[in-house]
Amino acid sequence: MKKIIIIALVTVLPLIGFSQSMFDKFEDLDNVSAVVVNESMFKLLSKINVEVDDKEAQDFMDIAQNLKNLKVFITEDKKISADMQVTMEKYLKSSSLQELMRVKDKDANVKFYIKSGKDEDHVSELLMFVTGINNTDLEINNRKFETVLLSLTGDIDLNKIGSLTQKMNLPTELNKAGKNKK
Amino acid sequence: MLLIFTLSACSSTQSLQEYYVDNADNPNFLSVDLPVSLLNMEKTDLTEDQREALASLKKLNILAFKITKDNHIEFQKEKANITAILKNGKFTELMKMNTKYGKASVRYLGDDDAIDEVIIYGDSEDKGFMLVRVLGKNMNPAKLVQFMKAVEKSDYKGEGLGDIGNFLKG
Repeated sequence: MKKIIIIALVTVLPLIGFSQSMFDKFEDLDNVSAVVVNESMFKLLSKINVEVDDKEAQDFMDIAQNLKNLKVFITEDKKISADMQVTMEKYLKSSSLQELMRVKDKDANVKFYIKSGKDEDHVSELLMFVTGINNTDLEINNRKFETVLLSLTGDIDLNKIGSLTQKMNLPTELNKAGKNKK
Repeated sequence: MLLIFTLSACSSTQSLQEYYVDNADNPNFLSVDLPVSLLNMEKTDLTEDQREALASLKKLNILAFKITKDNHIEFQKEKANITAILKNGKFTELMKMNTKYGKASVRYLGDDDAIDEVIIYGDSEDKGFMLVRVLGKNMNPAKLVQFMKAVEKSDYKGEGLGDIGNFLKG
């Protein structure tokens, strides 16, 4: 049984890698701030035995254990923004992601896409795309940003998104995908 | 199978190691080698776990390239060299970042519960690049907290790191 799982993983993994690689071209661009965290990092993080006393930290450990990949790309360059949009739309089609929700207010346009996981609280991929941020007070690493693309893969519990956002310093817009507010 | 794996692992460290040795005397580079013994931990009062965590670490190795007015061509060349070594696939990439200040990445060599080497690399177009290698044997990330506690007890004040500090400030 174990063998079958391993074989299945080995055959599927390159495919996952391939579909992900669509965004790889943004990683090394000078006008893009990028953070890429791989599965081994999450594994290591969850192995570090920090004394867990608050619930947030516990939630974070739980979620980190099951994550595969985190990619965040932030750019203020208009041309790259447009390219990101196109790439993302291509990606949405090729890997059949569903729209979870759309939030549009005066500051930004936020879209969430998910690939469903084992049950309704879990998703195997969460994609966040934020455009048109006009708020000049909002800065990340002193860089005013235009477009944010965030991709998270693994076994993600939507209930625990909040702790992840906080511990990893991710854009707080991500919280809107969580189910905490319900 | 195991032998092949061991051999390939060796050959890859070798090339990074070779790079270190080859460039240690190059005036463009700054190299620092810090053995764990520098921490002066023998006399310190440590728990069994802390001692074990510390024993898995051997030394810290730092190589930095500092950009000056007239070594820009060398910088691009060396940056390409080092990037090629790091990308050869023997290392497991943990994470990377790209900011307006420069690029950084963290990689390791070994298994996820027995790490033999951690490689931290960062570069910036106006300062240069820096490669930090944490060398050890079967370092277990689960023991990291114990290790930090052990280091806190040390009276190490950063001897030998002065040059690197200046590099970062400069």
